[in-house]
Amino acid sequence: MNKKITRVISLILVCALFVLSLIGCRKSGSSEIVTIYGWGGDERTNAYIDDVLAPYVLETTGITLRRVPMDAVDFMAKLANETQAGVESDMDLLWINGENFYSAMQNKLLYGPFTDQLENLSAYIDTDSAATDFGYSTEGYEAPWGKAQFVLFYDSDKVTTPPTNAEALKEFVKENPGTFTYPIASDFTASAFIRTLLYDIVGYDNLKDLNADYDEVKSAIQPAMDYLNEIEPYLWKEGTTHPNSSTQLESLYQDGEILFSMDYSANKALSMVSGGLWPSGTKTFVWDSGTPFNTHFLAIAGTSTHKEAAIKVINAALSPEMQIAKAKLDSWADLPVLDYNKLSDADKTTLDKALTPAVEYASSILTYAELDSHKQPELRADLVDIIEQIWMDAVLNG
Amino acid sequence: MDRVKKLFGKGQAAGLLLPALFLVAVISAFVILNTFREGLGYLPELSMYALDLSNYADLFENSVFLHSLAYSFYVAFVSTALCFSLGLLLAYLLCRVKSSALQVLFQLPIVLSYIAAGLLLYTTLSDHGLLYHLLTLLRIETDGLNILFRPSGVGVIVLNCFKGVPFLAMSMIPVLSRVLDRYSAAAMNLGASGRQIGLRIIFPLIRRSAFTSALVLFNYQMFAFESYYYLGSSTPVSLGVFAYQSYQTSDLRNRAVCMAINAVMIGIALITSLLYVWAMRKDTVTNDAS
Repeated sequence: MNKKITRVISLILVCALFVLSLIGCRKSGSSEIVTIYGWGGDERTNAYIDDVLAPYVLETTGITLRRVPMDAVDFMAKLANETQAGVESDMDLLWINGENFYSAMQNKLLYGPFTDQLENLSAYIDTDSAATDFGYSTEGYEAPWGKAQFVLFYDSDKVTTPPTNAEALKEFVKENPGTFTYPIASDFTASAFIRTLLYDIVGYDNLKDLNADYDEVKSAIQPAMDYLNEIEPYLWKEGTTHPNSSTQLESLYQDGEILFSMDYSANKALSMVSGGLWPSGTKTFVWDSGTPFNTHFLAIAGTSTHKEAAIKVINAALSPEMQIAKAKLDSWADLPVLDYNKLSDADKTTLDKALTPAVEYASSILTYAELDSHKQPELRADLVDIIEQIWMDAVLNG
Repeated sequence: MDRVKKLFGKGQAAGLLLPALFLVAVISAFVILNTFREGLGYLPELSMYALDLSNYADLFENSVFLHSLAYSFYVAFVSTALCFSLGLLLAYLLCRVKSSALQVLFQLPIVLSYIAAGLLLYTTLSDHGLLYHLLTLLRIETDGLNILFRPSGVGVIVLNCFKGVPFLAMSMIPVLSRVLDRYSAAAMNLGASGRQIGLRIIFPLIRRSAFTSALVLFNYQMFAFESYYYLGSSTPVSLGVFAYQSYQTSDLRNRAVCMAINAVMIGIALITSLLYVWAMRKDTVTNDAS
């Protein structure tokens, strides 16, 4: 009989524990948990969020920040599913920009407007960068988090002068077949490379006002597609295949199979060289006609159950302390969205120091002045989608 | 237990499985129907309310989709044929060589996930990977191996075989060892040659099991994602990769197309599953008769 009672009590206790664990699954101790969904393919970015931002958020707001690595297209699909199902979601913050923001707005998947509740935004941030995202008004539905510029990398021990325009690249690949490639256009980085090429061959001014019409865009960018088809036989594996992602492109560069790589993170080479992952002779370059420059943002999922806490986290991420920590070249090395003139003298000094590379690695990256003089605005998000599709039709499957 | 026996009689095993089977069947049916419905263009969350077959019709006029279908079929067929032959050979050798170490070793690729196995092959077979360095050490001159990422799908087939050959061998060893023990020695005593034993006695007895295992492999290899995505070329792409690319675009309206591709894959998988059931039933009938 006693055994029976003990079993019943144990069963009740186990059930109670299970129910309690379910109730408390979004609470960590007394701390509220906010998730941040975003691309998790860069160790430096992950380390910044986990080891710098999350502890700062916990200390200043008492909120636990939990990173969930997921590609934007995947979490967008998850968000659409959960919105469709009408369920409360575990998604709170979304690291987003460009066509994904455009698509999320079109489908009413985001919470907002909320940026008027961010004290640090008006106090320290360059508000111009908050106004538009790939040509579309942000309408207060996302807050700027960082800036990025597309750059290319080369191994200076094997390449004396990198090609800085389309014609020079064509000559180079013809003389050195198999040493250059770029990922398929659906990859974020490859898409930026194709736009860099378009700026050089067609010109930004001839593209920016195009209607989002497949035939109209195709007609305008046909010279660039012809160019890409012309160089295909001289690319890696004779152009019969392209890397599926920028991660695969990086692996090829790291293994010495190709001589060039590319990324939307302007200071990436510094950490890759100092970490011993890339050849020590790696240097960064941009094209003469400029490379795309954009802002990346933090938004809040419409299905989030922690909207107020999410706003507090974004506000913390926009503080000068966190923006400078993010910009540090030995950290994420992401360009800050701070308005330099709004900073205190002490913060200005700290930022200047953060942006100065160690002498031995200084040659691997470009100065801010060089980047700034080569920056080109992004095309509208709806045009970007169409350009990617045209590349798939005309180059990959053409 | 007695109550269960009373309740279900002879089919007690089926009765015990019923709750789990019911759950799986309901979830699967919901997913299949929902996939088909979204493929029709019905996605209310994206303000899409169409209910017609245009997405399916468009697919069969889309040359990229048709190439993907043909490419997936070709890679799966070649992979399965190789796995079938090599797997049977491996099973036979393992039945003959009674080594417990080998019995464990050959199963290692099965334990590895497809991604881990893909990474292992990438490290070994990439143009300047481990094998290339090994060949260089042996003073065998080569510019690069050129095995992976080829439109011919060689890299994918190698990965499929790496995973599939041990799987087929593992599923054949119990059947094969029983057949070898029972009939092989008797046939040999009666004067049958090795060729006769192999073709006229062993193969007819194991072919149903081998066929059903090969069907499982074919089904998986035709619709797999990782092998094609990590070691395949960017064109042609497999059905799985094509569906993923359609799903991956930021234009969420493409989800209907992706779901139509998934529905087609489910349809083909159902046909091969019916073949499997047919083969199993025939096998049961044959066994009962013998």
